[in-house]
Amino acid sequence: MGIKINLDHLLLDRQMTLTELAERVDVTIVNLSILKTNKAKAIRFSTLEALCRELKCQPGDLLEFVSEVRSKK
Amino acid sequence: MRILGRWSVASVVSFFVSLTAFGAAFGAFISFCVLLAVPWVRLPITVTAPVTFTLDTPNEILGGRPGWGFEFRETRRPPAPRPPNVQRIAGSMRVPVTNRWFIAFNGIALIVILAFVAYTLSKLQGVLRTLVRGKTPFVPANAARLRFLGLAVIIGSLFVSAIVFVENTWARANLDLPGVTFDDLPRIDFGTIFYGLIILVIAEVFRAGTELDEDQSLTI
Repeated sequence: MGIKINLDHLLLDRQMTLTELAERVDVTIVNLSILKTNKAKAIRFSTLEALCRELKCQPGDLLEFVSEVRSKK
Repeated sequence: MRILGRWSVASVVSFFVSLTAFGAAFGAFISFCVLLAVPWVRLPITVTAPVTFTLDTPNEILGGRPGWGFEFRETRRPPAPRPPNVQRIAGSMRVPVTNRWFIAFNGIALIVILAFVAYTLSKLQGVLRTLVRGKTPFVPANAARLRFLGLAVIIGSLFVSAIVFVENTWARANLDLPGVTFDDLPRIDFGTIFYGLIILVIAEVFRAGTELDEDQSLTI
């Protein structure tokens, strides 16, 4: 699986909807949905910065490395 | 002058490609209908078939009566220059044929070629459609279409060479035209095969472009 985005957990913790976050970081809801469902191939530093700013977190809270063996389990 | 989009060079090319594809498909249909009538048609019928041949210029007739067995031809001794001849002519022959199998072979070959041309042009039409609609041409389908076009050009060229070889073989066995020698070896069009290889390389470029475009569109 590789890099996993923990956006749904963070949104749940912050009591924020995807639509609200999309408006705050100025990214379309479609793109945020791609990010949330781990379909994105890359993330820009500017997007990461905006997400960390609005979610009040560190990049490490948003991104997680999942090894192939663990993801298969 | 716009190259891509509506009312552009791409749209004009797309129109003519569509027209040619339709013409080829219609031609294949008409040929199929004609082929069905072959068993009942009165023979002989004239068949036009592609051939390649060498044309020897005949010795000059100096006198006598041609066809009566006494002609005075110009003769050249060995040191004298040979008369010029025209080699490797690609053309077509029109011959009255009484063999229904030969007629059927030509009909089937024509249908296969026309259907193949129509299908190949429909693939090209697919590539052009994405350009006319103003969308990115770097889609996986276009890479596959271009790969098919490249292979079609190569296989089509080899198929036509095979057809011409068969026609030449038939002509050598059945026709006796003075000065005309039908080729006894298949004539492969390396130029066309080279174009096909270039299209295959472009298809690979499109595949790489598609991957880049996908990466770019999935970068958030």
